[in-house]
Amino acid sequence: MKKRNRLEIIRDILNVIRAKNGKIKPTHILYKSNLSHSMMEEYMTELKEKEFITEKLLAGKKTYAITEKGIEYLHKYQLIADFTQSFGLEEEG
Amino acid sequence: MAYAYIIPEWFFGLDITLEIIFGLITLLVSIFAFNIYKTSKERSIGLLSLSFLFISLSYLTWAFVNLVIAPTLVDKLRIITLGTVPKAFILAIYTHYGLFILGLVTLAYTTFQVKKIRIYYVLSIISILVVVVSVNKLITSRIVSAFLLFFITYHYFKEWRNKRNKRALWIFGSFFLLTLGSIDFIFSANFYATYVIGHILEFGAYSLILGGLIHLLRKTKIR
Repeated sequence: MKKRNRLEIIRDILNVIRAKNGKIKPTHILYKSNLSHSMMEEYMTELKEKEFITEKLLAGKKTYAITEKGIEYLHKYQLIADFTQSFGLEEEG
Repeated sequence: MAYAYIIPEWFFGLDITLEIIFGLITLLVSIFAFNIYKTSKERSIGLLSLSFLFISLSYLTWAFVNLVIAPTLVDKLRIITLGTVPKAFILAIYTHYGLFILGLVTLAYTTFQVKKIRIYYVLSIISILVVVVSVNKLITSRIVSAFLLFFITYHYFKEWRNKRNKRALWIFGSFFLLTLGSIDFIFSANFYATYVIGHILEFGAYSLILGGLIHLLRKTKIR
């Protein structure tokens, strides 16, 4: 199986969150995104910093929701990926 | 007296037009990259936008210098001599070379995917310092540019070898031409033909970059 690059991992995480918007727990993202715990933590921090997702506490448990910026990223993903590939800027995940 | 570069009379005007075209193409890449950066917030795309902005400003400064100085005409050759132009224009010529080097350093730092910002500062300072302390600043800046372009081109060659797709070949081809152009420009203080050839090579390079960008936009529209 082909190793995913950084942009593909971000897309996959955002897609998982969008599919269950507002209700997804970290364990579910971990299971669906096929990442190690530490890697997932790194990506989640980055996505929060970029304001692609928001973190909420529901009944004392962390849940995540996708933001407008996150949805825009998904819409423009192919253009971002093509541009990055064209200029040799792809980073491994 | 040392010449900066020599322009054949028949090419004067056309060179300025080409420099403006290069400036506009690189500005277009910079704006396009910046728009993608706004959505993706990817550091590497932001840096690419910055590098092309530096290169664009460098070309526009060069065009401005050639246009305003209107070099001395001697035997059907227009000669730019640092000793005869006002200090403000010498500063503008150095700004052109400085911005070009800074653009290439930023691009090299981005394509090498280095995370530490200190490496960027070190690369920038060393590249500029080498030019500043050298006796012939113009030739040294051309050599530094060629050196940086060689490494960027090698990166794109590896990208093309791994991916074997048209877009990778396009970018590799354009940077290969830019490297050749930069090497060619090293001799532009002595041979006027190299000034013309350098512009033609760069025209080929930026046409490929523009073609790649148009191809990308068309593909996006089709989707």
